[in-house]
Amino acid sequence: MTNAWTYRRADRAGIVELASWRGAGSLGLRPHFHDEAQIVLVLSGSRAFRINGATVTVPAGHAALIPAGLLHAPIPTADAETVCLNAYLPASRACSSLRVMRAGNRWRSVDEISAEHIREIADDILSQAPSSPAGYTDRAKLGVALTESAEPIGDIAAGLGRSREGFSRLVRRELGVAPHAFRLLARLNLARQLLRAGEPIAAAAADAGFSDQSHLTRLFRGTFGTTPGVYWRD
Amino acid sequence: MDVQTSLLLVAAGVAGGIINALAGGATLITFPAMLAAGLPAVIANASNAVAISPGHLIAALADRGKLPPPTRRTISFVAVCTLGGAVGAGVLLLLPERLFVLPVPGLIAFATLLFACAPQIQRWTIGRHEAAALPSTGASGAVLGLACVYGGFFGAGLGVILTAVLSITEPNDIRAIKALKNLLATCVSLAATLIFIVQGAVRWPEASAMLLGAIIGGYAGGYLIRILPGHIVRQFVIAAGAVMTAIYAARYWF
Repeated sequence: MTNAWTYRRADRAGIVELASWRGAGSLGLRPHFHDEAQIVLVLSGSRAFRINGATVTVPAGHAALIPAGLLHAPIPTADAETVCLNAYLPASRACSSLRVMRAGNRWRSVDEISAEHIREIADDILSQAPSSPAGYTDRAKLGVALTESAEPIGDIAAGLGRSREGFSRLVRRELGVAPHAFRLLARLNLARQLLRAGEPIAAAAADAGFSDQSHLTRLFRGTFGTTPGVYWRD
Repeated sequence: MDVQTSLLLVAAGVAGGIINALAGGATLITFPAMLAAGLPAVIANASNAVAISPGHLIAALADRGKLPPPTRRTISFVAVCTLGGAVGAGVLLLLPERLFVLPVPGLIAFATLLFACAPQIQRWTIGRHEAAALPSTGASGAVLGLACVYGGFFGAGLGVILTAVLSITEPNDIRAIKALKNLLATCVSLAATLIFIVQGAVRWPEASAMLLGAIIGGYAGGYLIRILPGHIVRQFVIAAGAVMTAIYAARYWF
């Protein structure tokens, strides 16, 4: 694979992880969410996402904040040269919807960007975003109900006094994907977290409930843009 | 940019081209289309300005026979408007995004209102035909300059504002006012788009898609003007402007 995301753990306060991209255009990836809030900082070219049925473009010199748990699908862009840095921040600091703002053309390469710059950008975006935690808790509650137990979907629905179909519709409306797909994405996030903590790939695959390593590898690459092996080594 | 977005932008461009040819006020349709395409507000505004810039230019060229003679006064107006457009564009790029986003619903509402009142302004223009109160070149220039700063900054409704200002300062035949208005609006939009382009604020894929649509729409408008009544297009623009105001007020204010 020639084009892939490069991840590195950021052992700095307030930032969980960094990921960078440099290449012709950018990759289209499967819809996913993160357990952390994500800052997307585009230095050149552009990135585009499909969120809630609408396209959002992040042009060069702009930064976007994608709140934790918000489903987004990176769509491929065809710009000649795209340089982008993703930073994952603890979810405690977040707004309820995606925000894009101008960050300026201060940097030529991702190496020039320090943790302070990223925190500054995050503060900037959060200071102008009206926070509405009410909507978030509803979504969070549903997410927890789906992931904390391995009960069949029908049983969870019954526990909430809903029909299976009604529950599916609710999940799709609130979380953006069907219950099973949501669970799968939550397990991918768990695998990522385990790999980040240094767990070997086979163990992480098993702990996150994937039938085998290749199953995890296929989904991980399609969702996060690199293989678990490369992610783990970096 | 996906196919759906490209189609949206081309379609908005066509609509904008037709609207500009028949009634004016295309920005009320095309700027929201740029936002819907997923661009950040400032970039959307700059790209929109580039995409619909040919409108005034074509109108100015078509009506060049009616232009007033190049007196000192007209030349200074052209200079003031070019400068005003550049200042407006500069302010847009220097302002933090938030300070542009907050007034956006207000700007759309203001332009819609201007547009809704355009016939009254027009009638009043013709009424002023006899009046001879000519303020000094300096005072008229200052008012024009302010209007052009707004034009470079946001642009929607600039034609209506310029027509109103010119009918105060140049009580003249309406055709001459319209021709001068188109010339001055062209200066504003050229100055502003030049700054947007140099500063890299324009997203070319989106701007080109809309530009393509606007050119097609502009030509189509030339033919449609015989069959499509201008007042229906105007009412459509006003209704669209009102809807856009509500949508963006809900998005940016609440």
